[in-house]
Amino acid sequence: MRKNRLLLLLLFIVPFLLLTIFFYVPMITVFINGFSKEGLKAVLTDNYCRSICLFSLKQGVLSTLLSAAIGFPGAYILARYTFRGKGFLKALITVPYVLPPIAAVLGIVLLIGNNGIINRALMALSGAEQPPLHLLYSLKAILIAHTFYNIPFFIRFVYPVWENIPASMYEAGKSLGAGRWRLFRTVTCPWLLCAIIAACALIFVLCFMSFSIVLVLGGNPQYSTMEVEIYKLARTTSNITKACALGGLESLISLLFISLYTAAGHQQSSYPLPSGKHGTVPAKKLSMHHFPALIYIVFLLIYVAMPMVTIALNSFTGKSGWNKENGLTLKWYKAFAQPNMYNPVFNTLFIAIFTVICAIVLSIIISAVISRWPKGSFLIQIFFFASLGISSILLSLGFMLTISNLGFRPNGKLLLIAVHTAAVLPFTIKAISLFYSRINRRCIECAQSLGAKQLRILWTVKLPMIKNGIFTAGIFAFAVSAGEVNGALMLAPEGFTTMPVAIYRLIGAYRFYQACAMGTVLLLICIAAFYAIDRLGEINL
Amino acid sequence: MKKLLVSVLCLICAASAFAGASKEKASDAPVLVVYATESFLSEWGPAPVVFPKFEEKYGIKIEQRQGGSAGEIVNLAIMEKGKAGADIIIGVDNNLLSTVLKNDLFVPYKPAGIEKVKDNLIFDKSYHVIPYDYRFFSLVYDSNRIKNPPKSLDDLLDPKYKKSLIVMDPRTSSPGLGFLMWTVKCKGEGYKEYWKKLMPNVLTVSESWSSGYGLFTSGEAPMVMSYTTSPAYHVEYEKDEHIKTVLFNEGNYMQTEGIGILKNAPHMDAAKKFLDFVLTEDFQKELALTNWMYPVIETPLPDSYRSAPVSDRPLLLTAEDIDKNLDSWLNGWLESTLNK
Repeated sequence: MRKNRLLLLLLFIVPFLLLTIFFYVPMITVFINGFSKEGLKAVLTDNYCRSICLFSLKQGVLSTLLSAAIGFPGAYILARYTFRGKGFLKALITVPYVLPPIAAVLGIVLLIGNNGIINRALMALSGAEQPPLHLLYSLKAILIAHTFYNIPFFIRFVYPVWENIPASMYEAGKSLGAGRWRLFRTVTCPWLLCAIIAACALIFVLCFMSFSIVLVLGGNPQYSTMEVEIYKLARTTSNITKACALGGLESLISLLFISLYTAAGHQQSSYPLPSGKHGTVPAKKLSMHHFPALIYIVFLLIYVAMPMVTIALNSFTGKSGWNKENGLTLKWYKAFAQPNMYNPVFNTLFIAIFTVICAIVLSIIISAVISRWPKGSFLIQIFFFASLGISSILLSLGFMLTISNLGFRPNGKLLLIAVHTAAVLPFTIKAISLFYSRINRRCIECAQSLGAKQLRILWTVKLPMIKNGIFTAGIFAFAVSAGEVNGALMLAPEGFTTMPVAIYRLIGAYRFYQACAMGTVLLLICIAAFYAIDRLGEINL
Repeated sequence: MKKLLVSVLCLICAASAFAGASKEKASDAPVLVVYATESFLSEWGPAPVVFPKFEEKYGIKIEQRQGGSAGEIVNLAIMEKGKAGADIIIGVDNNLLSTVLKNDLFVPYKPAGIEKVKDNLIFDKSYHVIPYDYRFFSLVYDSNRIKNPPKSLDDLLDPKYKKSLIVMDPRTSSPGLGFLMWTVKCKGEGYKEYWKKLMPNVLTVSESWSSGYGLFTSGEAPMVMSYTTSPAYHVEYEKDEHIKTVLFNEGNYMQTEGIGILKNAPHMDAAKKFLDFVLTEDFQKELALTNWMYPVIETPLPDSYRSAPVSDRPLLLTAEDIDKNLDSWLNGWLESTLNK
């Protein structure tokens, strides 16, 4: 027994080590190299720094509110209705995460840009000379791109909570004579509040630190986030001191929201899980009568899928230019016969699969600890989530410094798996601990009294109870790993390219349409993977 | 429980074994440790073609380390202070010269064959950085949509080009910085005024060349700030002649890329051999279609380069000038481009 404890403790330490090595050490390295009072003073007294700070906040808040408002009905529909293709829809709304920002920007431009599909169709219909729709290169365009990523994020985050509101709550309400509206106000809303706050806080942090989307689609440098300025300071004018000060300020603001997120999530994990067969409100079959829901689903399909579909369409065109008389071609797909095209596919799968396995195993262990030590869970979660609030530009600088300080070069693939695991751990721990902390102790005691061993209890009692958490975590880990660019660029060993990196390199080498083909394959693989993981989750263990 | 833990450990071991399988075998063959830009190391860049040639010719194994932008690598090398064991940096462009000289990053070396390089391409007369290729920033346009392209910076201000041009942000991209310097070189302090007048014709300011050129490729705007060599790609790989470039009357700003040997390079001998190799035709002839730049020595060019003209009026700012004013230029640029 003691030996087991020791092993468990060792495995428990691993995630903390990962985070420390890959996030905290690089950050401290950069700050030691750069942070100083003068830098902070320079930032705080700089009018421009203040104005970009305000703009970062403003666009972050707007993007978050929009995503939440538009995503809310979607969460309702997924939680309360069943329909054909629901599994596919769930997989589809997960794929935007894996799309590198450059591909998302191009997808949106190909759809609603001056020469986008919609404008070209409108011009062909109306005979107009100039594109009639002007959505891009404004604050609107930034919001469109951010909501493209984050409406799905919001839905994915909130609908499982909605789905799991115990039916008994509603029955109690009904027996007291509450109507539908009142039930919504007094049962659903309070129950969802924490999940909504948590989702919004996270979406805000992601938008707050947005970089390329804001510049390209905003159209004017007045739309610059703090990340842009950090980039300039760290890479163009080599003013590391000021970059660190600004990065520090940015992290501080993010951290504020991350604590909000963690606190909300913490609160939520104290709500009971529905138990028994009739524990949740049964989902209704969606039919033609539910007209608004149908319209919403069509809207969601268009909003989320269209930019990706346009990427796929472009992968079949051969040449660039205003006049698309070039006809269709499969030549970019034929290029996948070359190792420089098919290797990235295998590499991405390899890294993603191992990331999923490592992240899930480590998260289960951490969740077990959190469930026994509820007071510490807030601290543990903050420790993991703080890594989200770090500027990726400073992080990569710190990373490279740390590695060169090591004096030797660790195995790149292992390192990449470790970094991806560290990056997804906050999410996977959250997804799994949400269920783990609510395992019914009595079931375990029952099993123990029947003489089941630890492993058997884990397999037959605990795992089925946290199954939903595990599969959500798996999907998330796969998505993050398959779409990650920075780490893959810096750490991958010679000649080991992942698909998102290949997309960047192809575009960087003029091969725009070939990049579209690579992007399409990446999206298809991810949809298939998410769908498969989701289906696995529905099988009863 | 034990079984589970053991199986997890086995799995991790398996993963590491699998991952480590392709780890290079330790050998006694001499090595050269290279820092290079992302675009140089890319599958579609020069590295996969030229590195094997060098390895075969000299029996020296090349170990490539991180990519990234040139500025990023130079910053890293400065902060490492020679502790990382790297030998050379490939891709240091003329804009970075002042930074590398000020930080005393490189040792001078005059490679064999340097006499074949045209004098105006040797941007570091102290031979700390040896040029290996160059190109010009230029206006690239879609000739189906623009029949008479602008021929000077001032032509670009014509109101008929309203929202027709994609430029890059000088704060985050090197062609963006190149175009800013071009305007500084030609307009002096008037560059601010120039940018103010130019902005109505600018559709968007992209953060990188990739997204800006991607937007141009997808037809968002008929003109983009890119390189004189850009049309050659479309001719070479798409048999498409309608993407063209134009040389400006006042000249075009030049970008030269070079290699430097780091101080305390552990493999000094191999590094010198590499620099010698860089100035041979074996290396130089590959640059046109992989790096999309002109070779620095007389080398036959592919046919598609007929559409990639060389400017006879190359423009350059001096390293000292850049070092002194970069910050104020960037601030001036920002002030004049902001929508007020």
